[in-house]
Amino acid sequence: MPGSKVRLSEVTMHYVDVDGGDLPVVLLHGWPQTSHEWRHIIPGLSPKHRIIAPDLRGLGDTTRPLDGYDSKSVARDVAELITKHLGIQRFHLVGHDWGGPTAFALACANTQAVASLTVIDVTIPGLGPDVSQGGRRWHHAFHMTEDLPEVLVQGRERAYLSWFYREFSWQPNAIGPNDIDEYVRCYTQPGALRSGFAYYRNIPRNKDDNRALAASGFRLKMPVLAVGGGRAESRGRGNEPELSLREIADHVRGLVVADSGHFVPEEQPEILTRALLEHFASVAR
Amino acid sequence: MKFGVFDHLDNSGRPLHEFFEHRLRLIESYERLGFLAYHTAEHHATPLGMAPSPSLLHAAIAQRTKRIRFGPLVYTLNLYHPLRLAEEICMLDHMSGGRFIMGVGRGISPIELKYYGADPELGQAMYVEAYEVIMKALTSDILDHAGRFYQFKDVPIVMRPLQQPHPPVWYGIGNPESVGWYVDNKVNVITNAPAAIVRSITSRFREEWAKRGMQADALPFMGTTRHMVIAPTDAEAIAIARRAYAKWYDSFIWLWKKHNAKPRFALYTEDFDSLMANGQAIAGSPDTVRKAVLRLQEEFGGNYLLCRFAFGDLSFDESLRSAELFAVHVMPAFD
Repeated sequence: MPGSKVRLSEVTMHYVDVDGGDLPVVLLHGWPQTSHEWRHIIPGLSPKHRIIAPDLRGLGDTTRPLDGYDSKSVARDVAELITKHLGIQRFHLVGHDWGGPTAFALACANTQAVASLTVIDVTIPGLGPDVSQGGRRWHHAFHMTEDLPEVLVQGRERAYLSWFYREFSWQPNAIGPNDIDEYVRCYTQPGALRSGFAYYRNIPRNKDDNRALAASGFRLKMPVLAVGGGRAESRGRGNEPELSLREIADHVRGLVVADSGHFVPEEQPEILTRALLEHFASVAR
Repeated sequence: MKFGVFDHLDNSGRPLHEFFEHRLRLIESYERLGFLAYHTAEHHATPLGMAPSPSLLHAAIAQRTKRIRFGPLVYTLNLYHPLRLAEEICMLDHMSGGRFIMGVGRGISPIELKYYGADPELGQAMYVEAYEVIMKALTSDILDHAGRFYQFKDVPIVMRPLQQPHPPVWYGIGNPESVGWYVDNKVNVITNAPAAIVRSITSRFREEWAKRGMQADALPFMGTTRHMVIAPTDAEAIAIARRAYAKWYDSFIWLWKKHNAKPRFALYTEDFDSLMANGQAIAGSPDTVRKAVLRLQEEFGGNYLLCRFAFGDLSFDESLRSAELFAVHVMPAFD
């Protein structure tokens, strides 16, 4: 897919840009992934929609600053790309895993620009069901530890990341050897592990930010689709995304995708694509 | 063998505010990774030293770390007023909870000394006297000194270092003949030379130490420094090291070139490959580096290796990766 790079104020951002007609769709990936995770989704949404899928700060082929891995800061990079660099005024916004809280922060800060929000298999830290599931997502606490995960994973990136691709998928081989090659290529770059773990190290800050926002009485008014993987054995979060978003958004529709673990865009791309197109169609232009 | 980090803080090409933050972050990681100490060079009016006032950097390090020891290697004594420097040392020792180590020297570059109005010809005599004043100031209640360069009369000394009688002293040494003084004063020494030269110094040091009837396990640190790059493969590490060393060497030679002069101690080759061939640099995969460090230990006879993980245009993440891989794959071979 055609990739471009642009120098933004704090990062040089790599993004996929696929031409199309209707309101553009912005797709935000999670960890341990990159914009590559949208490869099955993009063909189903274009050419009806133009697609923009960036590699988030510090991940994929985007540069890796020392700081700024809280969701608000990551969202600012994306907003700068979309509105300032690409000149897009209004768009649909979709985020999976860490792309979810990022998309949420972006939507809160740009309520007029974001036509619809979709959050896939993640909760918003501080709102509703615990993003770390009370410790059941053990890697959250591990990744939040300074330095240790870097030194233990360094040189074993493939084994470590593959564990997640395998254990967090209900569909075997949804993430195949070539896809793992691509993810490992990115996560073995100097600093990529550090940057990825930095997302987790900012969970406390994200919780504070989001709770303060909710306490201020702020409500999200745009239509929200909250998607969860239906297979808890494969770490799908079920209706937790919906419960989380209902804490702060007025128009939330929940969708639990049967026979999917955490990696919904790669495990059940057809179901997700249909749900996204329906969701986008429900939005007044 | 124990491991520390040596840093020129040479210009990386990054904006200076980022440069300092990158370095402080690296130092925090060196601490967590288990390095014993962080040592800095002092240079002036050259891209080789972007931290010309070491005490300022070390005040920041004292606040950003909890366990790692740190200090200049060395303070160029002839560019300081010795009483003020003693006061700074004392403050830093307390601000760090007794983790400060004081490296002292006369300043290796006559060009830099002259910029400060110091006479390189008087270097040795002045340095010896400054050191005497500093030691008096760190260990007496009243400073009295009547010397050639410095005079003090009845100066009240109102604070003492936390480490008693004073923080450990470190010195850069180039000549085996001068070893006696360091042994007498239990000074820790480092040298940048190839292993064979270092060996002559460490052997002499051990001999003199034994002659005085002192215990071998109480030996001070005898160290050497090495440029160090570790990456998953030899090829990647060497490619990174070549690139970064070229930038470091440009900074190293910059002021000499400006004066159409050559360094008095030309210990560094122009290119990384020759430096590595001389055994003064190590780059490779974790396995390669572990073997090289084991070999170095055999050859140089010391008990301390100061790694240079950050030099030239190495990125924060390249330096951090070297340090991490060193901690995981090299250090355990020496426990």
